[in-house]
Amino acid sequence: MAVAVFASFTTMARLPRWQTVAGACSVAVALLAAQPLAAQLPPMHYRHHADMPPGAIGSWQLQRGGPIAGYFQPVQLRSPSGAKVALAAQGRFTEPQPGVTAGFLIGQVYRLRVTNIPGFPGEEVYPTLEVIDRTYPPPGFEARFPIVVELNPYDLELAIQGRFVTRVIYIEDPDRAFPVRENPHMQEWFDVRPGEDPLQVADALGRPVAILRLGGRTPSDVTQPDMRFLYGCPPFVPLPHAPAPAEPVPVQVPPQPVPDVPQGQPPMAPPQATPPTDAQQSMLRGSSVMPVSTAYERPPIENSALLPVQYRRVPSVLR
Amino acid sequence: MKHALVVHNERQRWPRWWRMFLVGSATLVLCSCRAPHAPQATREAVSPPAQQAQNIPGLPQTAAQMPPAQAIPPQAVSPYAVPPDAHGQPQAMMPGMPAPSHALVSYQAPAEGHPVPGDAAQGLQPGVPPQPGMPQGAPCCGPLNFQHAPQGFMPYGPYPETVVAGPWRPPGIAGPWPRGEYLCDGGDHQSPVRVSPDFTVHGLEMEDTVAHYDTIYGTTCVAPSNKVCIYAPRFMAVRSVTGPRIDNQIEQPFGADRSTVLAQHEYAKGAIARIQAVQPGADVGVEGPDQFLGRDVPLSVSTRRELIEFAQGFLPYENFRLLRLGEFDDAESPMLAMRVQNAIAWTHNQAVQVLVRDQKPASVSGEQRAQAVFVFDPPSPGKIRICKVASTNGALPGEFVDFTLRYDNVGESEVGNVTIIDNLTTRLEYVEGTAQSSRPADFFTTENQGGSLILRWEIRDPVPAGEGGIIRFRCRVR
Repeated sequence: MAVAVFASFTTMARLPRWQTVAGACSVAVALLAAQPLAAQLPPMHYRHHADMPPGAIGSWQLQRGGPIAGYFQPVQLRSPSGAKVALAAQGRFTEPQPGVTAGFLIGQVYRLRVTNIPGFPGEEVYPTLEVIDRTYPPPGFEARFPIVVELNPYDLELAIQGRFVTRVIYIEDPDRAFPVRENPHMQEWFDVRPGEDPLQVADALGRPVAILRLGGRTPSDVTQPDMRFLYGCPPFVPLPHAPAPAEPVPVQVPPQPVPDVPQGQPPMAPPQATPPTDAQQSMLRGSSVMPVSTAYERPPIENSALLPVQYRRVPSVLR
Repeated sequence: MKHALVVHNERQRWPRWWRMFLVGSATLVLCSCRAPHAPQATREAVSPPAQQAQNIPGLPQTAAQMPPAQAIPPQAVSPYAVPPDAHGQPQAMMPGMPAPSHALVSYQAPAEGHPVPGDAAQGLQPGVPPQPGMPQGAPCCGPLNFQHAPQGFMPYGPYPETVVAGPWRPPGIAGPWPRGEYLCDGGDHQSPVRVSPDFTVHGLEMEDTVAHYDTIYGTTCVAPSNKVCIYAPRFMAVRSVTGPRIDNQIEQPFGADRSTVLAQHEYAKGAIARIQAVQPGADVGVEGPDQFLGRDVPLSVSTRRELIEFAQGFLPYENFRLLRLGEFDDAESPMLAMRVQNAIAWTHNQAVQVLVRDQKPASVSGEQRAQAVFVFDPPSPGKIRICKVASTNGALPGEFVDFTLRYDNVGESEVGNVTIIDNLTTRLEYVEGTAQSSRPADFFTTENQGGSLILRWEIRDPVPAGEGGIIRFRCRVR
């Protein structure tokens, strides 16, 4: 459009044709050069906020399309030791269990009930869970890698005290990952600063997938089903629950000793394991040296008679 | 007047509407967001499965001619994908309902008798899942194509025509996707790794795995490995705690607060110095120079000789690829032969005369040519090919993953100073004491900027041609 406006302007100004063409080309090149610059600095405008009503963000996510409608995202709900969690189904809560793993629909709001909270006998908390995005594991890994949502005892205590807790669960970006081990008993989390939106913070650090809200309203009459309170009891798929491992369990047997590689032609796969030689064992025992930087001095090559040409490079000097 | 006439003639040769049409067409093409250059994957994604099966190169003819229902089986039933009911909503599955018997395993492989086109194209057995930890894009190990993975786990989304085997990803985006759910290690990212003569490594970044070595010709080469990706998402949480205000009610506004803007801001700055004007007491005359100083320039004789400049590039008769680029082109051989004959005709009688101690040596006559090419084929320098594999393609935090590095000298001569460097990513923690090498090597570790380690093996002895070695180590997923 800018080129057309420029061309019409130059035509009205009765400029020579070559000036018109040259000017139009300059404007076009400037526009094309400006597009990558604009793409490098996209304006960050968040339409979603963590304080939106439950279900609003998920419904917006469904409108974006993609394979998330009708997908039951596996989610593992972990509760503190002793507490029990129940899901809402058919107008009432299911049998309380120490932990729940199930497939939840994206965009729906699930009402939970947490009972037997340690340190607060008789108290109950009714949090809500909203899955706003899904994971894309390889085939066969869906149930093994559920979204881990932890009901933290500190959050439950704050909810009992009347505070409103919003916990946004996100998939951590490996490029911005914290160089710490994951605690198998407690999910890593942190508080946002006052005035910050936890959804935006989570989006900056990874990809938000679920929102857990605690401290909301409680049912007025526990004896009568309140479908509005239970958000219509959306469907879910129960899955076998795997508790958090107490100790890291290796998935493979200890590494076998490295065998001798058959020479003559490059093999494509490691051969069968054979006992290591004495030279290999002695080498592996004393191989833990930590230099201070990546700049290192190469030790001299042994048995230089095998080398027709010395590998050590000599810097050329210009005279 | 003449200029105006020229402009008038120019404008008559190209009408105004034609110029506007050209400019508008150019604008439309330049601003069309590269619509004609849509990626191939996008066009393939929107094509029906039957068309995809017919377009696969290398697919057996019988498979390509099969009906769509036989060439690609329908979507397998998944425990997480519920078919929609008559209203388009997924059917409810309440707790207490018996779980389907095919739960967790029904999406593993397609039904028997329904070969996957991708498997047929690669010569694999139908339904064989990809091997765990297979590298991607490695010439020695073969690429791991997610498109050829067993199909079945696909939700009933709004794009039933885009159903392909393997996990879904947006069309036109290469795997693994999404990036944040995978831990990748290997390759050479961003700036290439360089090794200075003092063996200082530059450009080594996170996830890089390279091998550098010296050839018998004195050059130092860097060979990156392939990239290995492991599905290992880690979930974190961000918390916000707020408190409701109870027993407070806003009844009416108490007042209106209107901010006033300062109309003018002046700042009076006091004088810090005072200058007294002084009248000149007398006229000051300017005297000119009364003499001229001579300047003697020393004379010198310069014997500097300028080099004759090699200007104008190549002359017209040198316009051959053999001369310009050193490449022989058969298309230029007739013209080149003619030029050669010209050279023989001009230099036959005036050939270079060689005298050895005032005696003319014996020469071989009868072979008239202006050039001779002597070919000497030294052995090509050694070349290291490094391949990296992992023990699994998915790991939870806290689990262990074994990595194996296979390096081979695929050149024709031996290489020395072979060094294997693996810069682990942040979420991979090296398990102490698990590094192994099939060849005698020195092992070092260095902390990197991501809180993990840089693993380095220095192979002591040179690696002859056609031989290689294996390196193993174990990592814990953080």
